[in-house]
Amino acid sequence: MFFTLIFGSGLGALSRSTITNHLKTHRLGQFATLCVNLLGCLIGGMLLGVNPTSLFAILFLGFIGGFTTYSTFNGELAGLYFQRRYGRCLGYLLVSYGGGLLACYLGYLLI
Amino acid sequence: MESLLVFIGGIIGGGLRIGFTDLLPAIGFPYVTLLINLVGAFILPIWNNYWAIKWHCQPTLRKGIGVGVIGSFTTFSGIMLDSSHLIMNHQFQSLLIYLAITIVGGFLLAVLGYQWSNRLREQEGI
Repeated sequence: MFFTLIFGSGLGALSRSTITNHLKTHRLGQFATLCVNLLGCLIGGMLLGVNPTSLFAILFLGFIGGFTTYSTFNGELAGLYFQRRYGRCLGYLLVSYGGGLLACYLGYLLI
Repeated sequence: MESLLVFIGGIIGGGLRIGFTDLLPAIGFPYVTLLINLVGAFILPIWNNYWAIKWHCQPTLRKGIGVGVIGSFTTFSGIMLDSSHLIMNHQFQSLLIYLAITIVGGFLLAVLGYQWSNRLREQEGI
């Protein structure tokens, strides 16, 4: 179980990095972490309604753990703060946490 | 090469988080995720803005550790899953405390991490 979880986490990190690198070339880089985090919360909500002992659920649980990130998100918030873009900083914070909870609930409803 | 390092970093970071979560005692409040996230939010800017520069890290290794290890050590979906469990158990006071520390603490520690790393770089002239 531990190895399935950490394998999923590695895949999650790789997917996050690939999406971020890809979106950066499309000038959407500033939304990459937000997209990743909200998508991860949606999958997380779906997992709440799935048998938690199935290999599939464990792999996805590991995946979203590595896929979503709190450190990069807060680093980006701090970056906006230092650029004195306070409105954008607060907006990003609110959309992330509010959207994350909503996405999680939506995922739960979907399954 | 970058992909491989990020993948391995993700395994290490996720492994550390899952290991701590499994080994530390559960007390009905998700303090392990909280502590891990706060530590990661503080360390990431110091890594990117100080250690990686001081140790002349290659961009691939810098990403492997920053994006892979520290990025996967912390989790955002875990916050929402922890919150969902607190809601399902009707622990609304714990939920409020958990989210308040998560939201305010991560931002403040990231800001402090940048400021501290800037000061270290000024002191050492790098």
